Amino acid sequence: MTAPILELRDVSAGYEDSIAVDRDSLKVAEGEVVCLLGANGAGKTTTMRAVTGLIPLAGGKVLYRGQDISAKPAHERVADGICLSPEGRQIFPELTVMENLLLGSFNARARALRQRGLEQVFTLFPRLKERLGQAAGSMSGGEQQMLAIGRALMGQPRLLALDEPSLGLAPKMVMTVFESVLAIAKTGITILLVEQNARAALTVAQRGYVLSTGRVVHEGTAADLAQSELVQQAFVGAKPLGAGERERRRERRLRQAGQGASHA
Amino acid sequence: MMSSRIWLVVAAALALALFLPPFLTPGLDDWCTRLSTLLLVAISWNMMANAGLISLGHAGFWGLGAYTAALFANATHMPFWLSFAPGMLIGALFGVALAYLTGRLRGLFFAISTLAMSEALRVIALMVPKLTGGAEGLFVVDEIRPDRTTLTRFALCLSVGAIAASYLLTKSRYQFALRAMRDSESTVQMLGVNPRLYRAGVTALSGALASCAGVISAWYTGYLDPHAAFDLKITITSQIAPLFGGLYTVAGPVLGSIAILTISELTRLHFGYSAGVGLLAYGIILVFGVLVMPSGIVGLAKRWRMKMGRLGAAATSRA
Repeated sequence: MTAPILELRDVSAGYEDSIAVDRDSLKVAEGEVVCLLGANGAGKTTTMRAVTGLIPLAGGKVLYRGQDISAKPAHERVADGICLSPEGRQIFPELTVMENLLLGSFNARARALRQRGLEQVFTLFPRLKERLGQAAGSMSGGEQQMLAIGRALMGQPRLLALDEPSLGLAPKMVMTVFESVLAIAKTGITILLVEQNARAALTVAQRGYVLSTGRVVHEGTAADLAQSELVQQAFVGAKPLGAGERERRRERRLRQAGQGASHA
Repeated sequence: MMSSRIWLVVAAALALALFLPPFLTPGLDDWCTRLSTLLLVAISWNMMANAGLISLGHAGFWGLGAYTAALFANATHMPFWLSFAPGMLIGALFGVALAYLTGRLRGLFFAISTLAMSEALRVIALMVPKLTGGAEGLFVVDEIRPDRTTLTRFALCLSVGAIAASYLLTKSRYQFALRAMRDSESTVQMLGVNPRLYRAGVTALSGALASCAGVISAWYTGYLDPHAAFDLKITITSQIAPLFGGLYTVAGPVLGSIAILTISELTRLHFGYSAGVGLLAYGIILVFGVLVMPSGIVGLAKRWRMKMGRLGAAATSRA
């Protein structure tokens, strides 16, 4: 493995006083496609937000190209080359396709390469070129997903973070989207992929991490993970290793909350 | 070229603004000055709304501008036009402070904090009579007040400037970022835009424009008191004008301001014998206007043009 482009060291993060990601560590090498797998609530999206800077860390460090970027705000990480295609696409429905794409290249570095970025996006997603003047919200879910990925590519990423690109798409469209993920990977862009659709993700990724209730419970090559029983368990929701203590704690918290409510 | 034509239009409008005032009757002159101030606050309000920041505190900017200019002018006897500099600067700074203090508050929460801030300013103006004259008010020194024509010229030129500024803003790349902030500030941040910076930028510009209107009104009336300078009516008309004309558009606040001031004058003249009836009619027209034209005059014009376009196309295809 070459020097990692991204490394998480014991990263914890969450919302208000609940921890969604608990002391996770992972590495992504330059040029690699790495996927994060796990069921609902496993902490995949939170990990993604910690990488892109959309939530503050509760502990640990995020290193990007050898530098600690834990304290950097999200918009500066985009300028550094970490671009996200978010869960649920989050395109701007009333803006046109072109305007959405241009927004992706807002930072100075990407703006200089805007023309090249547009060409790249159009070769990858010819369908977007046909719909440039159309309001983004009027497109199909698959096209909107293409737009979300295209918009992230317009930021000239070194590390492209894709959060659930298959969410809510027809099986055929899932194939199309994953083919384009492969095509992007071939251009040398490192990809961190979050997916619930483990089978699809493991066809494009080289390595993967399995998350369960906020912890990395397994890591390995795509081929290993495809075989692994743990992957099955993490998805079916069987009790993952090391989670017993956490669950006890949570139950205790719930009981306390219940008591608090009865006092009030 | 697109841009050179715009400058031509701006130059023509400025020439008109300089040329016209001496020929106006006092009534029309008064109308033009009030139109200028309404235009400035309406454009300013629309600018913030475009970025998703609904303000209920524009009276705050207005009063701040008015008091700053009046106090500076009284203290230094500076020429009236120079007083716009401190007035607008303080307005802009207050805008930045507002952006900083509200942080990531949005929607209703943002709106309520702006209302609170504008009310706080009014109370402060009441509570420091040594500086502001308190409830008794503050007179602007008479010798430095400009004559009517000069002030009207100046006011009209400033509103032309504000329209041009808001047009240029919509043509710039910042417009995308601001427009997208209305949908989601976190998505914008994910694309590499610093939402705090942009929020501060738009509130600063908006604050400067609204304060500018306050400065004009201070020179126009020559007298300030906290109730008039921080009047909630200013806040309300500053949003009715863009709503009536067409929200989030350049032409909207302009057309809306002209329309509502015309309607208010006409109802006042027509029902002159009783002020209450006039106001009631004015209110009813505004309510129905907003109900009938949900996207304002601009939206109505657009729909009408499309209809005419279709009719035209049908006619040519038949021929």
